[in-house]
Amino acid sequence: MSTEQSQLIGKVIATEKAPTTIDSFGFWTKPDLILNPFDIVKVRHINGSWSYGVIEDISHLTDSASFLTDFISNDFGDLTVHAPTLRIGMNYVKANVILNDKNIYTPLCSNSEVYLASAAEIEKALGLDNVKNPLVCGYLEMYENTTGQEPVFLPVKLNSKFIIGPEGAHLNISGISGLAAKTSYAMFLLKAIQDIYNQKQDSEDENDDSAAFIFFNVKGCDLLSIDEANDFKDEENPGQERKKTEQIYEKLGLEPTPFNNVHYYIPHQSTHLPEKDLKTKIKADKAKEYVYTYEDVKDNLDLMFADIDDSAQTMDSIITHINSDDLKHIDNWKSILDYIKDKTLAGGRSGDREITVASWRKFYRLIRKNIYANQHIFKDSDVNGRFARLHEVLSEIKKNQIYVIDIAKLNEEMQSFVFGCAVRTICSFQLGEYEYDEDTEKDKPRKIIIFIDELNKYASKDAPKNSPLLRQILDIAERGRSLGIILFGAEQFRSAIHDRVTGNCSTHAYGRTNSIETAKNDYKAVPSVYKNIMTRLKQGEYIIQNPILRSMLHIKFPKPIYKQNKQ
Amino acid sequence: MFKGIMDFLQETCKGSSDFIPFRSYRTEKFSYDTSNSPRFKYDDDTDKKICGIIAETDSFPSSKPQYRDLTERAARTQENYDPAHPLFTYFLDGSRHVYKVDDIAFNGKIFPVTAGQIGVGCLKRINKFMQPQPHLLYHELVLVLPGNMYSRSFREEAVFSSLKNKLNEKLKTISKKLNYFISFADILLYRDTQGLTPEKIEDKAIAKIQDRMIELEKKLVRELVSESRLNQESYLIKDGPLEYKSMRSGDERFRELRKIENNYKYVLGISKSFNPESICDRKGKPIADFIAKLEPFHRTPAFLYENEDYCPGVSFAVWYLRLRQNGQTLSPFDGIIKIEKLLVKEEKENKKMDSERIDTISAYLLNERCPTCYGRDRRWANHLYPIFVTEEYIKSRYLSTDTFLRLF
Repeated sequence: MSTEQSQLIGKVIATEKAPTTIDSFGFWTKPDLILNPFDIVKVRHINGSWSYGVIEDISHLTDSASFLTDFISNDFGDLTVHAPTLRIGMNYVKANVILNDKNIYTPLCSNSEVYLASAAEIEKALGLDNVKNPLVCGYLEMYENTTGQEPVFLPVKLNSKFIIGPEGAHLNISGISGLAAKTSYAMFLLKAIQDIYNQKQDSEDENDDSAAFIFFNVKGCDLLSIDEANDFKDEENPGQERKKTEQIYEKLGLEPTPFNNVHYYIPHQSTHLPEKDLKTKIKADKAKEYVYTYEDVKDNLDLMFADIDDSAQTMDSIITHINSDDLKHIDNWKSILDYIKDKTLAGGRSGDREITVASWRKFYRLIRKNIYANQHIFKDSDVNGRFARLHEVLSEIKKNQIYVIDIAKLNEEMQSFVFGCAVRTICSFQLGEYEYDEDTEKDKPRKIIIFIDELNKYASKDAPKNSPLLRQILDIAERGRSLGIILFGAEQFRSAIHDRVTGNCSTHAYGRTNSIETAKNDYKAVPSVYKNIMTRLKQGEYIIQNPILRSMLHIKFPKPIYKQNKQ
Repeated sequence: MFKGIMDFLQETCKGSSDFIPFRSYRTEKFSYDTSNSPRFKYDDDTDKKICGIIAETDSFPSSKPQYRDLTERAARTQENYDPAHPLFTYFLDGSRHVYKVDDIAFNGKIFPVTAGQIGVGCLKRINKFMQPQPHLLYHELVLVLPGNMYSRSFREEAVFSSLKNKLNEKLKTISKKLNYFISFADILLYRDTQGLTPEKIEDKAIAKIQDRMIELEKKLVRELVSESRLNQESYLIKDGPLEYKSMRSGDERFRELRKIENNYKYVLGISKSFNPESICDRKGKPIADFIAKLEPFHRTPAFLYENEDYCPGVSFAVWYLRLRQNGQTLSPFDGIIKIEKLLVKEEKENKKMDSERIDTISAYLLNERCPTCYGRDRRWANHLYPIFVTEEYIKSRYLSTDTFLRLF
């Protein structure tokens, strides 16, 4: 856009006390000009270059010398006074330099002209032009309500290699439940990713990328209808809302259709999904109930004790003993429980002198509690093959498939167990520990993207250090990029998540949160104005951070295109 | 190469038969505004007296002039206030910065050389916003020299005009470096220094700059009138008194106030500080406490002021108005403004101004008491905010003292 078409909005101020610097500058505008944090402006700089800045803060100044001046100017506190003259005032806008088109980063000169930027210029300034492997992450709207300027709508596309690997991987989404729409944002991103891979589906290029998805449903029936279209029945005007949402999807270059190739795995008799709906899904071959036999689980018993502080490693010893060759003959829950019970009797043989009876009793108590609390899921056999065995199902996952594993109604220990077993299976899968024939090998996805909400339950800063589940997640966070396991985690409070997990995420999405959270060290690098904005974000808005972006971006995303079953 | 204005003057005058060669002492340069120099204490600091003749149509008991309460009137005015028609639309202020730049000697005497920056400008209030009027801003640089340095008795104006042009030609290089156009508007001359002390001679030089400023103020008012901007719903408020002394030099058109009195039909002069001793009763006794005891939102009657010696042929209506509570200010005169209106046409004939008009003007002025410039100007209690803004605007156009003095 030429200068003639750009709107001139102000001039740079550089004073003795507030000079411009390489990184930042301030400029004045008229008080009635509406600008917003994250808006981009361009400034005429030396040698015919243009510098671009992102607005960080806006303050309003007048010539009032002190608070007392204003009080006195209202006739010493008379609320009925209406002054015939408005004070001389201006808005002072603070912005951070993000780009100069000729790489000239000397500070901007005083009195330099400041303009609004065009959509193309904004794209360039933010590094969103010429993005390789584009993946839509939302859209931004700029200059909303700015007089004399058309609002700018810009799809935000990031390099997918910096989100789902191999250059960068893992996404962390944080925000207050019910206000931040974390699941909706994650699902929007995942929808965009599935769209990309659907387009590549038929490619026979050996180097072609492929992915499969595993979602964990942790709330009600939230993710149990993602292959159905959203009916928008909660909206005031469903038809209008649908149309508006579809238009946004189209502008973003996404199919306004729900997920496809979805399979649901529901814990037997432990789900919020109404029986009628479950039967319908099973009949349509979209869903299956899953259970765990002893054979499935014996190698993963440690995951039942993930939250137990086992500093003396006694639980660990017992599990090792159970998995030893001596007990190879035990192949059902009843037998193992009887065996363990036997160990708890006073005077009984321990079988291992280092494990005390007290430890066996503790172990028995915990395992029995889990099994009896979830007895519908722990089966001794599945002779008719009616149920799904998750480790089998996951080890046969194909590209572009989406598996939704429901754990919403399970208790916390069981949720950790199911999640842990699934993750372990996926790791083994990606490590090539399972053998396949050639045809099956061809359908094996290069990447598996896991989405789990309430990540704080599994990767908390307070989790015991020797927790096998935490170790598993740390492994994914640190090595997953090369293994092809990508973790999309969401939680209410980012500060609760283990530093090594968040530290290894290449992309961060900050949703609405509170000031207690933003005051924590985890937000040290975030400018204070942005922290304040985080406390006011609306549903559908996020602030994202990614290596490709020159600064944090305030983005929006459309309403879900799939059906949500909100309780 | 240009080495400074004093060098230029010395070189030019040395080589010319028009001037008496002088020696420059290169004395210390300073600004009179920041040094201990005599300054006018009051806006109306002259030997004049307002005697208690009522100059308004309403009658007041002659033995005991009464105050008029405008509280209700001001409240009604505020209630019905329309920002699109504010009554006071234009605000004028003039100021000057005067500098001592050198002392020169010739004919066995020493004469000061002064220079000044003069700023006279006008802001317009549109829907509560103060807007500059670029073509109604005069910013001039002037140089003041002793008149008797010119050796001849004719063509004086042409010669000094030529000297000024040569100087400005030399200053073009400086302008380029500073990226700011510097040019002297005029070279003024002071005379009649026989028998005067150096301080008095300096005062004469300063007075020249003051006169120039006043001339520009009059010129600006004429400009507003010629553009038909002033009318009964669009007044100009001028900071300071309207009592301009008759001038013996300068533009002929503006020397006598009576010749341009019609320009002031819709102009008010508002003084922030005034000599309380200047108002007297009919017997000539000062009645300063009469003003000091003004109640808030009250005005005095309008008094007639005439001074044939100072500004012949013109009459003024002068009254005082208290804007604020006495207890909210430091001195008894804080919060009181002095308002002057030149009487023209029928008003002049009758030597009376319409009381209703005075009340209207006073009520509007009361509502101008907010906002204030408290914290920025110690005269905040009497300083109308639009005038303060106009002052600040004009000050912002000045070259800094350092920059200006370096020209010499």
